[in-house]
Amino acid sequence: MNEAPLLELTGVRVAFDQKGAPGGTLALDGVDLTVHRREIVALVGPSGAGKTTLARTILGMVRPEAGEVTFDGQPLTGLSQRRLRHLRRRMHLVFQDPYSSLHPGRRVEWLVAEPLAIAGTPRHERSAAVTEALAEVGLTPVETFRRRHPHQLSGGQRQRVALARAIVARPDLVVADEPASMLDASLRAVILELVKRLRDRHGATVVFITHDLALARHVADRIVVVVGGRIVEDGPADEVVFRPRHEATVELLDASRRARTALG
Amino acid sequence: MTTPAVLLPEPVEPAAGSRVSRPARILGMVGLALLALVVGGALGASVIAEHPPERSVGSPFLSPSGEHWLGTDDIGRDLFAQLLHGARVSVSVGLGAAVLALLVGTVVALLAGYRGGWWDVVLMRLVDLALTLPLLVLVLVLTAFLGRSLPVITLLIAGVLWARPARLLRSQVLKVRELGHVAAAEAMGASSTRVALTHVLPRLVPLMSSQLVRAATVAVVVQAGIAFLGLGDPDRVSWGTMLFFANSSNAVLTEAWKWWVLPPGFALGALVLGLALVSYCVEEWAEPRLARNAGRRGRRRPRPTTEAEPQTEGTTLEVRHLSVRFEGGGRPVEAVRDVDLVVRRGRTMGLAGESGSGKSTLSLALVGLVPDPGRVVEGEVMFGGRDLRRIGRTSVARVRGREVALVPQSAMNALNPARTIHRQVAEAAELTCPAAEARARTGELLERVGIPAGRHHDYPHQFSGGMRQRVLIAMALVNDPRLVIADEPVTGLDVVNQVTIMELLGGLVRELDLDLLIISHELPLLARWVDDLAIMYAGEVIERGPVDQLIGDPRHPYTKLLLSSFPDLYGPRSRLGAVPGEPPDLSRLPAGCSFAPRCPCVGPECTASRPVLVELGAGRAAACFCAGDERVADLFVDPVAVAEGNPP
Amino acid sequence: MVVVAGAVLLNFALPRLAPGGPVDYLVPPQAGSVSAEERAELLDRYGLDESVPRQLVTYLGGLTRGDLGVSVRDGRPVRSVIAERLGWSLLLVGGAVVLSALVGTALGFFAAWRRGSGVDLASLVSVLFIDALPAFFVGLLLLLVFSVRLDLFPLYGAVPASEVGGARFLVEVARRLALPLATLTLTGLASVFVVARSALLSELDEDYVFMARAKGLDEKGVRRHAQQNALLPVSTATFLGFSTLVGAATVVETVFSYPGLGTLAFQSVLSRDYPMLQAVFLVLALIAIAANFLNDLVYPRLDPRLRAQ
Repeated sequence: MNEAPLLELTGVRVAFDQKGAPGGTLALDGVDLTVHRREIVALVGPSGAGKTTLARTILGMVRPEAGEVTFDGQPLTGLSQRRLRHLRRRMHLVFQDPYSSLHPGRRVEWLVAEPLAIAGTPRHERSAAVTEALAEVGLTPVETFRRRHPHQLSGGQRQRVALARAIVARPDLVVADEPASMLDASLRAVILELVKRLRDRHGATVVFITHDLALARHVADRIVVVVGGRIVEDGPADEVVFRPRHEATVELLDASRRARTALG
Repeated sequence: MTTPAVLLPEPVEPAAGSRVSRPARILGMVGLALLALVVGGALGASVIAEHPPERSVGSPFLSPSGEHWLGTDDIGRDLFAQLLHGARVSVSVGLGAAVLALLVGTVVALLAGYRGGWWDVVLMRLVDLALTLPLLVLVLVLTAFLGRSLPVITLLIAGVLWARPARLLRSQVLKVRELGHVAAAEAMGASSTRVALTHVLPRLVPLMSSQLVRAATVAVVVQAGIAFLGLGDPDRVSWGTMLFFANSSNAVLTEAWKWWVLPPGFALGALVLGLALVSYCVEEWAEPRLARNAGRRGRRRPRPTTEAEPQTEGTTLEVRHLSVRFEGGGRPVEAVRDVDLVVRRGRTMGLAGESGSGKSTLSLALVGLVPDPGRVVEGEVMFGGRDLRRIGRTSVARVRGREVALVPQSAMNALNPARTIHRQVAEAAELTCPAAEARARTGELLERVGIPAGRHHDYPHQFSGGMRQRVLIAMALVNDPRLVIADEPVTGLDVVNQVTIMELLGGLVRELDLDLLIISHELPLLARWVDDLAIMYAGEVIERGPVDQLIGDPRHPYTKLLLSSFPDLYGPRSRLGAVPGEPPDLSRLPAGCSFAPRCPCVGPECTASRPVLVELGAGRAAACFCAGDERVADLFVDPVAVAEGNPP
Repeated sequence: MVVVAGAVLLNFALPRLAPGGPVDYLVPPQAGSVSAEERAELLDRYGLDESVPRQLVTYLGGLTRGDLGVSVRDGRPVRSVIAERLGWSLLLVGGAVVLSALVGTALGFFAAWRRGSGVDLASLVSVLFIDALPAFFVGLLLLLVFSVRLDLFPLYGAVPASEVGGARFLVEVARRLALPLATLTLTGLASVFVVARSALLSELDEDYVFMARAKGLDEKGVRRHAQQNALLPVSTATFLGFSTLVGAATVVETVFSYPGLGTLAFQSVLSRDYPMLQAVFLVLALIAIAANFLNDLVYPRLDPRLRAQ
């Protein structure tokens, strides 16, 4: 890794989430995190640990009250809304809920082309990119799917649309917030494969959020365990699963183990 | 910050052809007809009416005749002409004021709701002020100061009407802001103007249209009220002024009321009713959940006429040939098809399936709570030696909660927000014992499920999802039932909470010697906690058996593929397996095996006829033509192939 | 508080916003009979020759002392005229609010439980129909049927013309109150009905209602669960309806020549009695604001989720 890291967080503190959690508790408390280029990092932790806040802080949608977020050498704090928006076009967020994250009134082709529209790409140049991306996520025949509205798609197909949009956006960084947790298990593998492919084929760096260590291990190179707004463990995926150091990680692993039987 | 409740949507209800219920559609049509009548009259006024409305054309106080259809007023003006021309005033004021008010309201709502900050504070104070002041009086006072010509009145009405749509639209903006696609656009770096116009505004349209109709209604009524007081535009004839003149010349006391008072009054009524009916219809369209639940309660359901076979020894619950069908608009949906299921005494039963498998509908059918428009069309539910389908609604209600208890799917919403948890549990306990004892038992049980005594009198919103699920477990167990049906008891909880809740439930079931039926889509979780397992797909049980054998050696291709799609904690890091294709559409199932379109082992017999559950020995059964086939054991579908859109 | 201040300010600003300023209204320029001196004297009397901030201070000062000015029409202090009328208006509007809330809620819940049935549809359509008829028209019809044709109730007023005492007086007051009250109740009924009906319908879709049924409660118990929560929007609708009914009362009082604030406002508009008009409006606005405030007090009692904050 002789390149400079793509993303760096130092001492990030976020007081409360936007809904105003009571008691002034910290959503994030002194988070240091470095993400290198073309890496898949999983943020793992129980619900309420601060994973989603962390993701939003990375995207500059939550402003930390202390600490610094640096994206590709550029500090996010102190940037104007306008500059921040421009920088955000180099990042992409894939949501957990495929039912609400797509504008219900628009067709698939509009939805997939939206990052291009935002970036100001001329209309006639958008169509080819959309066709290519839809084919890549397996929404074939493309000509049928591009004319559909979200309500005509299954949950799995909607999440594929969201991933096609991520491909079209050509981001340096993709943040995927539990992208398969609302889907049936039988559709999960394909979605995760497509997330991995954003790195493998498109060279993006991926931050993958999940509460399931087993899933994290199958998708990510590195696992970062977040508990109570702090990073308690950070290491290569197998290292964290087989040789956990922090007791919170041990607890999570224990729950994960007890929540399943060894299959097959 | 907490992850939203992950509820896999079960498409049990058929996609309705229309978003609006039938009565609403009829009302809407009637409303449109009334509006058409009024607007037609307004447009055609000069053509239809022979006389000018504002000049004297005959003797005063004429009764209706061929010349003057509604007679004349106190100075000989033609009442019929006035009626038609009056429509113009009402329609133009209503429309003009409503459009203006809505424009202002929308802009204010977007500024206040989307920009937020000081905009919000200042604008909402203004809205509060405008909303609290008595509208009609305000317009009245304002006309006194600012004049009373029609455009001024229209402006004034709009000036007091914008606040209601502004407030409602603002809260809608706040709701829409939270939607994923708005956040997605923001995350993609879209400008706030773009987000407001392409993402927020279109989601306001339903509310805007219903508010437009509402505003028009109020505008019409206010204008008429002002004119009735004699304070309207003196140069224009309107329905309000007709009534004003009628009232001031005491038409009520003479026979003239029939053609002088009634027509303008009912004309106003027709216009307003038309608007109200249309608005009712539009509101239902904007808020589809108002249209649901349209079914009738207490509808008679067919009861089997023949005697049921006696229940098998050693079973707590025995379900035979159970079928549930939903008949809404379009095609009927077969949510549960010919299901056999047994919960044996002392053995925990698991029911696994994905969305659309019918597992939840099945659990509801067991306790007689299938939601409309669904109905159990066939089968027997043997419990305690009797068929719950034959004993009648009131008797089933007595069984519910007392002998069979349900732990429902959505812990977040299954508690009444306005009552303390203690009261809600005690309420169930009081069904079987006196109040004092019920309270004591509730306290004990709540503590047993891990809720400290100090919090028993708190409200549901003060608890986390895991804690609420504990309350629901206490609620289910409080009457010492013989069978507990837990429908997705841990869905939406994180792994740590999942384990705690399952351990709690398992421990209590052993302690109290109950039998348990758990329904879940988390196959590995389920497999750990149950003794017997049944897998459902597209409304059918496609495989069942003792859990170890079923998991270790699945015989149905679907079971095998589904198992391969769960990640293993310590196994080799490898690709997860995929199940090709899309989940089944229950209203368009194929003729043969319902898994055939997705099955890698599909053969000609699979599309020709439907496989039934075949006993494989040792309590196992599978519904597949290649259940004994060795191919199933090695099945694996690479997600890469599926992702490319090339299923094997 | 902010709203009260806003209402006061608006009230102060109203006559000053009018084209030509308040002077032209007090002393129409066309009325040649008024000389320049008399004009100046009038201006002086109403303090209109001072700067606007000073006028505001004077106005506010008067308000705090309860001094609302003097009626232009008959020279009586505005305050005592309003005091005379306020009781009658409160009786009428208050009665109508309570009645329409009770009847509207009961009917709305009744219809919602029978969603989609003939009873539901019939009550919905008839309530919407009654609501569609303007209040003054309903008033006229009631007057026509019950007073003119059937001669059951007196035609106008609130108190009998001749002196009667004791119970007889109360009966006479009630007879005169009956028709305006009925009219106003019918006016307020529909909004409560519609809100109650749709509130209960959406509560019925909630999981906790399902749960109440699943834990074995009978229909009555289930009903109580849903209705408790459906009352929230109903209470808001009722209190907000107050200001609508205050407005409607203006017209209804006029139809029945009922001596309330509504008729007073109407008469003041006709006779260009601006001090009176201003004061009436202020009082009506304060009543509506008070109703809103009451709602803010009641709401947390109904919804525990708001109590914590």
